[in-house]
Amino acid sequence: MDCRKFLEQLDAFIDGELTPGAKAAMENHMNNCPECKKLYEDAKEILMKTNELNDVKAPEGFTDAVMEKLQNEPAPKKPLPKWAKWTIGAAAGFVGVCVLGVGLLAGGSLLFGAKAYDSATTESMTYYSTGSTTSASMVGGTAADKDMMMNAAAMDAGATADMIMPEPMEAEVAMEEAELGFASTTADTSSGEQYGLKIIRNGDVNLQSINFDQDIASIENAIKASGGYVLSSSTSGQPVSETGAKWGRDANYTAKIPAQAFYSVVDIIKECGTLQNYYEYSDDITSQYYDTQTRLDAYHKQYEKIEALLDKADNLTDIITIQQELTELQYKIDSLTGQIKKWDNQVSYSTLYIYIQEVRDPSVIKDVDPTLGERIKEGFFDGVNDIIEGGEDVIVWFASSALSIVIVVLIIGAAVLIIRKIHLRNKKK
Amino acid sequence: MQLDEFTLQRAIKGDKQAFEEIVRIYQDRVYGISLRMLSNTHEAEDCAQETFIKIYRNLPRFEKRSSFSTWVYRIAMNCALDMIRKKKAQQNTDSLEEMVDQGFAPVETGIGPEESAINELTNDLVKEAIALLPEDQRAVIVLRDINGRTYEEIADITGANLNTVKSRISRGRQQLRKMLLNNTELFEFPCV
Repeated sequence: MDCRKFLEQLDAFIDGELTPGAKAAMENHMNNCPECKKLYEDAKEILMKTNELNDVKAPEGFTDAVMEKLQNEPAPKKPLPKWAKWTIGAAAGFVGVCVLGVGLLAGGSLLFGAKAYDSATTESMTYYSTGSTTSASMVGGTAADKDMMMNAAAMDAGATADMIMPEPMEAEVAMEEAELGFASTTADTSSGEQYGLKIIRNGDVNLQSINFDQDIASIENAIKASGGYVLSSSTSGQPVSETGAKWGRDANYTAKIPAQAFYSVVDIIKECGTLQNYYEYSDDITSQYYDTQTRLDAYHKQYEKIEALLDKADNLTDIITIQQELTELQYKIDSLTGQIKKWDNQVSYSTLYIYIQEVRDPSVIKDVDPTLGERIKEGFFDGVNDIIEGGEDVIVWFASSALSIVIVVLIIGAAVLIIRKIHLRNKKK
Repeated sequence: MQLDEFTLQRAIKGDKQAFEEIVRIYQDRVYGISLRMLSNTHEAEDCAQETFIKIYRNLPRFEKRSSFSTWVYRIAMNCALDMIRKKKAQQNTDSLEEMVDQGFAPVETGIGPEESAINELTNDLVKEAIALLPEDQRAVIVLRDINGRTYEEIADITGANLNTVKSRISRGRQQLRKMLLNNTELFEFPCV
C-alpha cells in the first residue's frame, strides 16, 4: 500500500467500514509511514471535535412556541386511500377527455359554420324578383335556380304579382297574433335577434340604369341615411352619352347596413334603376355564439382563480408556472373575445352587395319575362343591330386606315406602272 | 427520551398533546441539525419551528417505510437546505474551492505551517469550517459526524445512493482537514 491508497481509504478506515484485510493493510502502512500516521491522528481529532458539536439544546420555550403556532392549525386530513386516489384520477382523466371532446366538436362546428357561411350561396338562398305575372319569375341565375323558384311558386299557387316579401308576411303574422292576444314573436324581425337569435344576413342586388348618376346618388344616400356605410366601391367604363354604345359605366358597392334597416334599404335600392335580380342569404350562428360566450365566461373565471394563486406563491418556480398559465389563458380569452366581437359586428350590420349597369335606352333593358314572340323579335332585331354595328365598325376602320391604304395603293400603283413600261419596252425591242 | 408507538399513533390522529410530546423529544436534534446547517441561531430556530409545523401537517402521510426519526431528519434537512438555497440566491460568494486553494482559513490562528495546528483546534473553528462546506457535503457531515447516523440512514434522509453518501463524506472531511489544518502540503502524497 502507498500513501495515495492510504488517503483514499482513510475515512472508511475511521468509520470501521473496511474488511479485516484492508484494515490490516492500513495499520501496517501507518507503522511504516509517520506522516500518514500523523494524518490519521489529526483526522481522528477533527472527527472527535466534530462529534462534540452534537451537544446542542433547543432554545428555552421552543416547544411552547411551536405549539402556539399550531394553535389555529386544523387537524391534518388523512390522505385518501390509494384506491380512492386512483378512482379520482381516472374520473378526472375521463372529465378531461370529455371536455377535450366537447372543445374539438365546438371548434369543428365553428370551422364548418364558417365554411358554410363562406359558401352560403348554397344554403338558405331565396330568390326574389319583380314580375307582373301570376307566377314567380326571375331574371338571371342558373337553370337550377329557376327550378327552385318554380317549386316555390308552385307551393304558392295563386300568388299575385310581386312575390310576398318576408318582412310584410312576418308583419302580418305579428298583427294577427296581436289581435288574438299573443305577444309578438316577430318583434324586430329585420334584425333577426328575436329572443337572442344571432343571424348574419347578406343581400345581393343587380340593377340596370339609364340615369346612372342619379341612381348612384340615390343608392349612396339610402345607405347613408340608414346609418350604414360603404365598405368598398368601384366604378368603371365610359358614359353612354359619350360613346353611344348600348352599355356604359358600371359600379360595384359593398355596403354595411344596420340589421334593423336592412330590408328598408333594399326596397329603396331596388327602385334605383331596373331590378335584374336579388339574392338574399343568411347564416344562423346562435348556437356557436352562445357556446363561445359560455367558454369565454369559463376562461374568465379560471383566470381569476389562478391569478389569486399568484399572491400565495412563495417561490420563483411557482410564480413562473402560474404566469405561464395566465398567459395561455389570456391568449384564449383574447381569441374568443375577438371572435365574439366579429360576430356582433356581422349580426348588427348586414352586408349588401350592389351591382348597377348603365344602359343607353330603355329598349336595351330586357323584359323580365319575355314571351316566345318577344324573344324572336328581340333576337331578329339584335341580329339586325349586330350587322349595322358591324358595318359601322368596318367604316370606322376604313376611315382610320385611309391614309395607310392610300400610301399602299400608290406604291402598288407605281410598281404596276413601272413593270408595264418595262414590259412594253422589251416588246418593242 | 424515546418516542413510543402509542404517542405516535395518537399524534397521527390529530392529538396535539401527543404531538407536543414528539416536539419535546426531537427538539434538540432538529434544532441541532438546523443550527449546524445554517450557522445562525435565529435562522435555525425559524427552520426548526417550520420543520415541526410540516411534520404536524404531514403526520397522516407518514407511511412507516422508514423510521420516524429518519423521517423527521429528512424534513429538518430539507427545511435547512431550502433556507440555504434561498440565502444563496441573494448572495454572491466565491466557490469554496477557490477559497481553499488560496489558503483561506476561517480564523487566523497565528500558527505557522511548521507547527501543528491541531493542538489549537477549537469547536468554533470546526463550526466555522463546517459552515463553509458546500451544502451537500455539509449535510452528510452533520448527519454522520455530528448526529451519528449510519450511511444507510443518511442515504434515506438525503435521497442519495450509498456510494454518493460515502463519497460526499470523504470529500467533506478532506475539505475540513484542508481548512482546519491550514496545510495543504499534507495532502500532496508526501510518501510517494
